[in-house]
Amino acid sequence: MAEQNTNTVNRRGFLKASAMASTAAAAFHVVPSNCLGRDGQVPPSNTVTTALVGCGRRGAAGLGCVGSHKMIAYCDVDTSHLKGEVDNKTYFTDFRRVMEKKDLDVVAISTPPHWHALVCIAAAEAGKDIFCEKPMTKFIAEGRAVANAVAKHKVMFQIGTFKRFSNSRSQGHIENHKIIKHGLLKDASDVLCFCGARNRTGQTALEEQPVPSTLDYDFWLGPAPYKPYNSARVHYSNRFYWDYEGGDLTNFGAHSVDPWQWSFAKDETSPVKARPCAPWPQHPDAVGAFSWVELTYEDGVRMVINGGKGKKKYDGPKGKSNVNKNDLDEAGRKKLAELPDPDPLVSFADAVRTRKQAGGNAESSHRVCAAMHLANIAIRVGREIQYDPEKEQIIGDEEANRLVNIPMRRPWKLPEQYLG
Amino acid sequence: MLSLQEITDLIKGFPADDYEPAQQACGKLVAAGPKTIEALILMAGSKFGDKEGVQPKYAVHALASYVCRPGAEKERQMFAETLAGQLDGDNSDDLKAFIIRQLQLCGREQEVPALAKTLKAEALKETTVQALTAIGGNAADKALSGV
Repeated sequence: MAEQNTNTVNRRGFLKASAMASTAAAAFHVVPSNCLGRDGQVPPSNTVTTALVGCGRRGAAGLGCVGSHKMIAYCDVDTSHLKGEVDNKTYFTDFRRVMEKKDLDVVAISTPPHWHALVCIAAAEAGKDIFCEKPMTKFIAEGRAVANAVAKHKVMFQIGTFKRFSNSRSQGHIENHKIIKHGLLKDASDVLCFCGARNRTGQTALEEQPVPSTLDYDFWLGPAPYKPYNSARVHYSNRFYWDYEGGDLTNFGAHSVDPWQWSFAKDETSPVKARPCAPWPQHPDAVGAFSWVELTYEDGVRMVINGGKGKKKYDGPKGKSNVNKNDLDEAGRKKLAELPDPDPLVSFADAVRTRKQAGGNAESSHRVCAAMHLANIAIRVGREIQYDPEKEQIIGDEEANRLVNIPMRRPWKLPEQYLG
Repeated sequence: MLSLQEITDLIKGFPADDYEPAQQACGKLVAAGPKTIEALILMAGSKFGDKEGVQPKYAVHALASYVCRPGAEKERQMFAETLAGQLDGDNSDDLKAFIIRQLQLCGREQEVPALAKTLKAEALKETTVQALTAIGGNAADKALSGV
């Protein structure tokens, strides 16, 4: 992989130093006004360059969160998704060539999820900031590897779901967050929230079809197991096959698990138990339906991912999704009043420019995905599973634990240095 | 041993809305022994997308999970050994690949010798590498060292 790209940091650092020098008594060079953002111009240090890896349906939709940006590269293994001829300058089919671009600041990743981790790691190793569509990963070990790679290479990361930002500005959610984070409740098992997901399923008997001439199917599969091509496997409906994603539970579930994970102050841990309710057995290839999965955290907080209307209703004890000072005793209320509010979440636009990690960062996104993957693992094995959030392993269930770190098809693999 | 019709009747309701009836069906299949499991595996079809193989594939995959439940080691051994036994012989590469993917979940060191043989088949090599990697341990590492 390319060495960490320091050119962008040096360029940005030069412009910042130039801006500061211009106010000093002994300034030896003239700083153009647009570098300082005067006269309504956007300073070049505020306009980042971006590349899109995965130019299909979702495309660059989420890149607005980076603020002013200039697209300089597009990459897809299906050339029908590219607006120009492959020239390895603007249009690419291999994401590794994109990462070699020295003038590139941010990579937006809109590939199917089975590619997310490897492309994120490649971007981090190349020193590129990362915007990654949800769900961040296909299996739990990938998330740990991405979080570690992002931390090691000090790049910025934002996941493509944003409701946690509005939760973090809501006084009710802030109070909820503080109460749970600091363990002020006598019994946190009263805390229960429901996260919604849709419930679409894959097709169970996919006959082999000719591969379209524009698609490099082998590269599209990448780390996923080889299975004969069928159009149902690719380009949106990949969501409904275990080899590429986790169905609507991870596809839509991310939008509600992510903000609730913030509200429940669980960004740095994972559930210790997943209890499923789903039709069984699941098909080995196609994602099936599910009713709900109850995820329980160590302090007793429960999060239930719901499969949607018409399925079986959750059978656990009732609870409440928001707690406030009225749920505390006098000592708890006093303690709550003394606690500061959490720091505001940093937007991706600000993260890229200030180098403070964004609100939807790699660690929190890994934990969101870990919760959803645990839910799917429980559904697939058809039984309750126990999880160690520190070791990030399923306890006492070898088969289930094999779904935590799924071997990739060669030559692709998670770099050992980022695991654990 | 169960007849083909008895097997078909047991698995026609897969997936079931509840775990209990599905797991009861799995219990009956396992209790019927290796010959029943072999018959079920062959019902899964010779081609990846066989429509006739859908229910048997649900069932074989269900058994791979069912026998891995805590406390069922003897059942797992019987099932995994029966699966591995189908890697020899005339079964199609598609069916063998399906079997190897089940062993990736339920196989242990005892199945490594059978998987080491499928490493030599070009069409099955990558699938086998993934299964052996998941199984892990000295025997699997040794089998993979030559790849």
